[in-house]
Amino acid sequence: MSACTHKTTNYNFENASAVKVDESKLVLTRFPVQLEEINDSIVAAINSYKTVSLYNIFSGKNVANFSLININFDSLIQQTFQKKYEGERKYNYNKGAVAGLAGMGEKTGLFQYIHNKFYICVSVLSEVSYLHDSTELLKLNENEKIKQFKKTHKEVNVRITDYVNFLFVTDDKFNLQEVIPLYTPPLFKNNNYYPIYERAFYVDGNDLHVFLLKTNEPYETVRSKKDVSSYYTAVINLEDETKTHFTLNNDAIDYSGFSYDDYLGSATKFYNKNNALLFFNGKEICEVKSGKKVFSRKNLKANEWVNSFYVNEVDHKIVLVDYEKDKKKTPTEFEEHYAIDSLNTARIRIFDTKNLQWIVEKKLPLTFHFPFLVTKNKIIYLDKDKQSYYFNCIKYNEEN
Amino acid sequence: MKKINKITLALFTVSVLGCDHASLGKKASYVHSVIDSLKIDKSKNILIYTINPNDCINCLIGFVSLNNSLAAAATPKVYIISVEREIEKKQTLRSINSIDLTDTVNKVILWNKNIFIGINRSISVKKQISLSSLTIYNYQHDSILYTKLIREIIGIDEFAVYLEK
Repeated sequence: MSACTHKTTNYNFENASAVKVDESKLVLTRFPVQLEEINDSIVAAINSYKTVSLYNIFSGKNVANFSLININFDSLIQQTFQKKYEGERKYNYNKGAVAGLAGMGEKTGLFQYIHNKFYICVSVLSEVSYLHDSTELLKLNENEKIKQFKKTHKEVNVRITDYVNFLFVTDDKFNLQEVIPLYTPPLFKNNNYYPIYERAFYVDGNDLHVFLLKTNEPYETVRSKKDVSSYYTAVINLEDETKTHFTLNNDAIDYSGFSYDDYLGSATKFYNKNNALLFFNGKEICEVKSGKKVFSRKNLKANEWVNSFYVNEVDHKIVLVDYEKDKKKTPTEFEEHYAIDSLNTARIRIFDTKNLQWIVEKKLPLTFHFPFLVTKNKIIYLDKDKQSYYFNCIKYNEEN
Repeated sequence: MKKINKITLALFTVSVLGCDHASLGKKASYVHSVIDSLKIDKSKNILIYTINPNDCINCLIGFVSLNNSLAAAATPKVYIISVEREIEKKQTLRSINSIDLTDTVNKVILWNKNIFIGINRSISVKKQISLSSLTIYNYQHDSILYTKLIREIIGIDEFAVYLEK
């Protein structure tokens, strides 16, 4: 592909030639679920929910990989969750029972890179028996599906399979330094909240910022509701779980009108900008500590969503990639069931935070694949043809 | 006159039951056209697995266990795997050691994303076309006897009646 330059009012956008992704060590089976900048030439990506990989975007070379394949999760669960809940619960990591086609019962959906360290969130499916855990037993007894099942079957042996979560901490070469088990704090249990680590988390010393879902209603009813939560984020103290506290609610970040699928499907992120932690919900950006709005949804159309952004504080700009979601005239049953709208009109937009107005817009190709990564001076995304995956890079800069 | 009509109706019913779907002149289904080209015993009910290796863990939960349980059944089996690149096929074969994904007598493996989508689109109840499912199909009557997403299958009891002993 040849390079070309497109000029807008104040910005130059330059499409660099596509670079083939090196698959000699790791074969991509789908588009990555996360893309982050490590430095000017290296990005990290999660492939197939199994591997965190580093790539040089200018050569395509796969520099290093962190894989879940050879980790002894059975031993890890026994040393952590089983010890923590000894006498209350019985954990059984039975790979044969839970494994899918690839024989894996674990996945990684999100990582954080900061100060030359990776914090990789790993979720592992494990069978769990609630022997004397009164809170969990009560939940099971109140579960409508189980109640129904007990009516129609004389003897019911309920086998619960649930995720246990860990943070794997590595250096920038993926040498493992620490594994942190992520227990659910009493504050969440008592208020029916559940942290969705793979949606958004952020480690800041002993503080673990997490994205929350309220879970006191069955899936069938909650998924048809709007405004599904009261608190959206919390901070877990990794040394003292009793210090866990809720942080953002509707006063700070606007989730009004979000369906259950929007809540769990829109881009969401904690984002550190000059030591100020920001939170992004697909529509808005706010500061976690003060709740101050950095970007308001009032600047977007109702069907407009942001996928990725970069806050340039010096120039008072926010560079973002957004897209529009439209209701289909004749959606399939699948699309109705999963509330899937058609995605279109992906574009790069630049917002002037000083004058509160859009200053630049550039449309992206009609066929696009998430995620996009917006950095200080470029936008990176992947594409594929029948044979290979490619890194694409659009460099941008303001005209002097 | 009434007697003649009754006899005609009875003969017609018998003839419908006795011939296969295609000979009735009705257009054969997509599933039928896919199975038609495969070298398997078409006189028995056929197990069709549509497998997306990229499904979430929950979507394929217990698949290995289910597959092992069904391995002994004399029912012909067709695995349709949603993989389109040769490099991905090799990778999938390397990474899977709990399921035998090689063609044998009455077992066919199709590595084809388009067929995966085509089959799921034509059989799936909720049009969940990207999710892995299990279907039991009767070729002679071109009929779906059972179909369910793998993650929703509780046990073999649900469909044991359709399996060959």
